[in-house]
Amino acid sequence: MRDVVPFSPPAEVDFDAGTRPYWEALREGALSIQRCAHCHAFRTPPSRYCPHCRSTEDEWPRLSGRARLYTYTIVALDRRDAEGPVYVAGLACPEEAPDTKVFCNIVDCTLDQIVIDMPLELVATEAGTDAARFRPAPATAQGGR
Amino acid sequence: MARNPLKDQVAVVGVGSTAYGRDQQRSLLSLGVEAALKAMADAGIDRRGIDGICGSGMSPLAVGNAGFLSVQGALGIEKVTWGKNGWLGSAFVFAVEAVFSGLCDTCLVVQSYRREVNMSRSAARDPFRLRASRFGETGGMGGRDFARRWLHSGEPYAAWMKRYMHDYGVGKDAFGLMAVNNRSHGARNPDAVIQRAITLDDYHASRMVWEPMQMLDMDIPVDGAEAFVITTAERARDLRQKPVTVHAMSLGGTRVGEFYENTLPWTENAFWVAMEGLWARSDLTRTDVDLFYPYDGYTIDAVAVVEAAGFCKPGEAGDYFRDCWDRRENILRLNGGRTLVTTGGGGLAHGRSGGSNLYAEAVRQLRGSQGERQARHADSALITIGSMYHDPSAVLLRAGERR
Repeated sequence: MRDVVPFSPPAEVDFDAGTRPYWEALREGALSIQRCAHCHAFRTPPSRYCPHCRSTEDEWPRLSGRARLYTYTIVALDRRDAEGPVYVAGLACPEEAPDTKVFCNIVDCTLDQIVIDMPLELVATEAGTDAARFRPAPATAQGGR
Repeated sequence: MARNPLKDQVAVVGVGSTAYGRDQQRSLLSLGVEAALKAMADAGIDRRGIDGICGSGMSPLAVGNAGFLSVQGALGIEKVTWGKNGWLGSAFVFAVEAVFSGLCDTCLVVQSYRREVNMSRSAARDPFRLRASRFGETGGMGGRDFARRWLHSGEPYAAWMKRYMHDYGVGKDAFGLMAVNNRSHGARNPDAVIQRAITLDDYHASRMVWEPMQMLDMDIPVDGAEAFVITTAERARDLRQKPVTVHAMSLGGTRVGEFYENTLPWTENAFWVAMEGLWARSDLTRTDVDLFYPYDGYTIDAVAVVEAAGFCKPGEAGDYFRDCWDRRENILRLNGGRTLVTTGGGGLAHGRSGGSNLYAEAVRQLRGSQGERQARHADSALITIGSMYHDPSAVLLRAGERR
């Protein structure tokens, strides 16, 4: 079976004021997404105005890192090599915010382990990574909705 | 019903197309100007008759590539009272709006597309394309994604194919049959970049790109342009071509905007919004449509449009296509056999032009001028172009003048 590898190291990650808390949390091994400080609705990707109440006050709670795999795609590192390693890009719905979808990279698994709606857990990532990494969670863990 | 004061008030009176090719080594402006001149000649007007321009490109800047100011300068059009850039299906809609509102009387729409450096390895190696890509902004994803590992727009679409198959418990036959249909039509179109028909087996055997998306799910990057001349139905009476009248239109937008992460459920995506908006403004219904052009940038777009238009229930496109399949010609025939889908071959066979070739093909079919390829029933055409995520357009055109 083809090996599942992490995303290759990114050329650069652009930080700005709006996205910095997301990247900083990831570097500290945690998942954090934006939540409205007024109506407490989570939202991704980060935006200036809450789409529910238009408040500009936000907060960035640290989440459990547990999530559910919404969907994914399998991408070959080298498209000419049909047997070579692949990476898996997907969308994860955090347990605390099941209606939001966080772009992610699925790692630490074999291809046949990956199924839609599977429970996921955050994997601590090294500095410089550019997406939340998740792996399949133990069956006992609850992965979102 | 929603209001539709523009019903049958605006007409397409000119259409012009360049050749499509994998490697024309021409700028977007050069292609756009050729198409524009052909469209004006087709309409029988010269540049003095144009007072509005909708150019192509996502950039708000009007200049560069085939933006409206560049087109105006290149054509030497002295004065326009309206100008704007658009892309995909919305450019056409903007021009109709402008004519209907009175901001201009006769509007030129120019849409230019190029095989861009992000579309293939060979395109990325081409010094011409590399240099051209650095000149101005002309579309693409409209800003980088927040988590920017969607390296190509195909990846989120592939992930959506996966979720569609999961939710409805289906395989890929809906996508595959759409690809077969378009390639069968492309095989009859001498202007198509790919004129080789395929079978469903060919589809399933094609190279995997972003699993589950395969090579034959994607449109063909080419260099080419389309242009249209749009004016009032009243003025169209004095012009040389049989007019093609705009019956109803709608755009579609959702609160998730253009981001690829936070997508709404399948039946709430922007195509559903656009189609609902169109049917609420149209005197015609789905069963009145003679020719159907669902955007085929990726086959999942076309499947989404078919379902959003109400031809079948969500998730049932695969079964529906089998029921509608013409085994002799290897094409779809909807509405009891009368309605053809994407004559000309669309993006999957004729070539990628942001859907502008779907409008061009629809206009020519509604004029009855397609010769051997002319559809027998060609009184109305539904063209729905865009993305599940952002700015789709739905347009219903009718043959001739409607009073």
